[in-house]
Amino acid sequence: MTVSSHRVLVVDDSPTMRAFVMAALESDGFEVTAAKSGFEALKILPGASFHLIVTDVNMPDINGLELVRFVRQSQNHKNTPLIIISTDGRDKDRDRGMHLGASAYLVKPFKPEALLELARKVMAPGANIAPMMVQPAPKKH
Amino acid sequence: MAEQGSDKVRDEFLSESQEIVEQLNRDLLAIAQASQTRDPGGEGMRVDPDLINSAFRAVHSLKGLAGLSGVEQMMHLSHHLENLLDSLRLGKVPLTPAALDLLFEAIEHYQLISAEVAEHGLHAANGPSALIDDFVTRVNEAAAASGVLVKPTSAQVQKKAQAPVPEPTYGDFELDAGMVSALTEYEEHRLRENIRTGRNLYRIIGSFPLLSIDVELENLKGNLKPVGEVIAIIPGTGTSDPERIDLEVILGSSHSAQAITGAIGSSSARVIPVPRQKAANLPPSQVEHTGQISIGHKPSHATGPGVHSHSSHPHRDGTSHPGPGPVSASMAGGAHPSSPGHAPAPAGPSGPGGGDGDNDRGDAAQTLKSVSQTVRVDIRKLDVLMNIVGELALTRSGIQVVHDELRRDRVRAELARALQDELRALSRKLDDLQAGILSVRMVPLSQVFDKLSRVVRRMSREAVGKEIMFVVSGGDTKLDKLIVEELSDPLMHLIRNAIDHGIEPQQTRLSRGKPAAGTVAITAEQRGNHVVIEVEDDGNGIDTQALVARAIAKGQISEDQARDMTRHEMYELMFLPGLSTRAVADETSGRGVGMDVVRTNIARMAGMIEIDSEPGHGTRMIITLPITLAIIQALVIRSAGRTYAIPLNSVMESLMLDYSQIRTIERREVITLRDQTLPLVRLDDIFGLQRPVDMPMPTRGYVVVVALAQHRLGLLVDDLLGQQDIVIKSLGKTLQGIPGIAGATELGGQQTALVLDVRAVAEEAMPRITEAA
Amino acid sequence: MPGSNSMPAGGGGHSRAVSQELRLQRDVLTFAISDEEYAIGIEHIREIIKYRPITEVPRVPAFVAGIIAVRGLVMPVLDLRLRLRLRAAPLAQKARILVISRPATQGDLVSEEERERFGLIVDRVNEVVRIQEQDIEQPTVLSGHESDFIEGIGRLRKEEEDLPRVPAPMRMSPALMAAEPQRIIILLDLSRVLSFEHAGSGRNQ
Repeated sequence: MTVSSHRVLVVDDSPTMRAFVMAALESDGFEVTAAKSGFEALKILPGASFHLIVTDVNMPDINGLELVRFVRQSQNHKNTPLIIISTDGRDKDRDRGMHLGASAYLVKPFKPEALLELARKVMAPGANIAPMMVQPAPKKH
Repeated sequence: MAEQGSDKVRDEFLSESQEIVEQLNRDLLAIAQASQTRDPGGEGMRVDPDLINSAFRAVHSLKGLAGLSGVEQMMHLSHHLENLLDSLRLGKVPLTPAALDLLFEAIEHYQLISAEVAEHGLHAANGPSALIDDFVTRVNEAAAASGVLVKPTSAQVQKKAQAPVPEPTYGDFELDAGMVSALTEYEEHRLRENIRTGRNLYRIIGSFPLLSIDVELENLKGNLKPVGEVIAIIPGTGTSDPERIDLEVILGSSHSAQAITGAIGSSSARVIPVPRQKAANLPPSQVEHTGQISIGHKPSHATGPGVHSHSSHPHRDGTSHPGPGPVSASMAGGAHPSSPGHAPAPAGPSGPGGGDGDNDRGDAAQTLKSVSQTVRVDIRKLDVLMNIVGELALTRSGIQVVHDELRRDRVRAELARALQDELRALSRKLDDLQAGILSVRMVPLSQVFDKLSRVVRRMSREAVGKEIMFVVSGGDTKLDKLIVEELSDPLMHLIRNAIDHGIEPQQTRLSRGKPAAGTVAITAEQRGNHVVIEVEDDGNGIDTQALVARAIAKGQISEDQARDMTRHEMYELMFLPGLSTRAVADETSGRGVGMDVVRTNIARMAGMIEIDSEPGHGTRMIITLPITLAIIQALVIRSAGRTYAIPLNSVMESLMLDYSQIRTIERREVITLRDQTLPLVRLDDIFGLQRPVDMPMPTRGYVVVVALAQHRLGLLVDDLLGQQDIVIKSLGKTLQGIPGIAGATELGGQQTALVLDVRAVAEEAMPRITEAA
Repeated sequence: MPGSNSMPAGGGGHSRAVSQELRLQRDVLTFAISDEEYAIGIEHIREIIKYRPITEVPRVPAFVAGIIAVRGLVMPVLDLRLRLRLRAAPLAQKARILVISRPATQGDLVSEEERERFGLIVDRVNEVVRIQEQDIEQPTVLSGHESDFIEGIGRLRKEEEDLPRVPAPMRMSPALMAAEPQRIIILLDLSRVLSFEHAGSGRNQ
């Protein structure tokens, strides 16, 4: 499976993290759109169509969990693979994210390769995009 | 070059980390201040949870930044600090003065690491550091104070991940389970805290245009802050309009729905109180896997839940609870329901004064927030802009010249008038532009005062037997950013002196009839073109005898000289290198940095420092600094073939002179001006310049009259070339400080002229004159 | 910064690492003053400008010719001839001003951009050459020069193409080597050149 020209949305309030994730994804051929906050993500999502969403969990105002819930209930992205980035030790938040419908999680700090591998995994055809969602999980394709 | 690349990464790391550490410092200072005014003594301090959360986020960001940049020590430090801060914000650990001190100490460790990185590169701060390890141990001890830090094993993690999250209950509030499930642990904690302290919950639902959502939400939050706590913001999902989005804000507040509606003003959002269940009998608290407890009501109290709408404060001593019995206590290791009347020390920060507490916090938080709405600008870019403005001023002058020509031509007079109008408008706009750029470079002194506050805190604790009160005022006085940065070392030194040598031990003070706590005050004030900063203490005053004795001992003055010295001259001795009133420079006194260096540093900024002292009463150090030089008007003159610019505000008048009018009185040249004798001075003599050989001696010239205190002096020059706007530029680090020269300026046409320091020139000339008088 | 003087105790700090890397060669700009060829590392050279009128400044040593302004930035200009204590001479026809920045010192936190600029008047600017570290010798006593300002004497070998075509072994013979014309370049120690005091110096660092 080639990942070239797949569009991904990256949401993180830390400029360094954003740059890091963007660099990793772009190096693998993704077309990356970056959002600085949950708000920006809300602005961007309705009018666009992404193949993958990567979001930090711990953000002020609209946190990543709310974003996951929003995405899974939205029209155009309810079946989009979604990776949440959580902090080491913040297990509860991570679990919540999975229950709300994230496809997979990554714990900070992580290597770019780990992110790319996970991205490929969740975007693979037939992958379960919300394996731990509390309501019945939609299957991709 | 690879070098340049890694330098760039390092610089970016340094600038971003510095910004975050400064923010952290501000948060800690605000926390310290809030804790002082609210809850002196006692185990836990009550502080705005937003502040602690902000500190947590700052450390979290530093951890991420350090991780990405490969600065291991900072990662290590931040990782453990983050745990402590997380426990603090979740209420698992009380915020004690000791904990706060640890946090302040952390800032210094961050600074040390940054300094290492700045000097030796990103990898300089890798590998183990005994200092940091020691600090981290103490941090972990503090975090473990309530036995909290128990990390689950991977088996536990697996199990948790597979089981669905149990639905916690929230008092008797009916909260949508779906909404609650999207809260982070922290938000949940805030929710429970609000419930515990007896507040109501409200949902504020509004529809916002997508394009301006961030601005509108900031407004809404700002309006809500005085009336309650914003716990979470939840995006709605059922919107049909692609241009708009529904948002729901969960608010905890002691105010009524009407008050809240009033607070948000014109916003179209609706305020809906979260309904409560009527039934008083609720199942006992459920225990979640980390042992946290949610609140249940003991049904036995006569006063029902209705009482909660008004601020009924849970008292710290646990007596007279009109409302709920058990108070939530977040502890690990199992449920621990507390019996009524026994309130464990409130672990979380919450104000007993619901209403006004919110207001205070609201204002404070609001000002903190607006401080962070800044743009980082490379100060060199500002220099470029200043240059351009300077050149624009020159162009304006050039256009003025053209106008003057035009005006002479009667035919063009009309045109000339129109041109003059435009020129005036241009001048005004140039002034505005220049002021605007200058204001960007100006930063408030509070930047350096905040740093000093931290140091003083530490020092005053280390100074055994002394109690120090530190007073700061005028922090909003602004100076050029570079000057403010240069000030931190000298000011630090002065304050150290005040604390070490100035303020006496408590006993001594009391025996002298002074208050036990010594005061060290730093004040700043703008006076005209200068800023005056004073560091004052009410301690010993300067021991002139000891100072003089030391100076004699070091051979810097003779006994005879000492006898004739005025008190002020004795104070000046402090600026001689190597003179310190203590034989040994102790740890806190700085490492052999003396007052001579302080004076040099301040002189480098074109400033001055003076000392005033009263034995037994105290000492005052007065620093005077110029605000950045701006565009000024100057008189351009020519003397012995060289061109100079004289700032117009130093000039009283200028007149033409036939040299036959010069008389000589006791070898000094003078003229008579309006019946008074005006001494004359030739620039060439002052500067020791040779007249070019082919230049004939003039028979006429001009006199530029300047004043020094009550004396007047005439500078004799060959020619007056006119008046124009100039920008004074420094001659650069190496050449600055030449007596008599304030700087240089470009006068159009690639000509560079020196700008005279009239005061210095006059001072030099004066002795010669007053000698003769 | 408050922390820079205090190394963490107990081995946490690192010994001051030598900031210079192992260099095998250097790129230098060569220029002429009074028939001798001098050089300065190109990392210090900001630009080269045509000679322009210099504004005289009082109360400075004779070798400080004055100041100039380059794109708004004012900087001192040194007459290198006088600085190196060579015989004075009228201004050369091809004279140029080298705009350089003061070299960093150990522990310097200031970037290249921000370092103080100076102008150096030279008779003629030649070219940029690469000189092998091994071809640089320490200065010995030289007449007419201030050896304080000299970092080393470099010898540039001629390019291979310039050598007459001889079989390899013969090229190595000492006799041949001695007969090779070499270019001698005097490498200046810029930090020393730029260290001086004047009437206002007491107030400076």
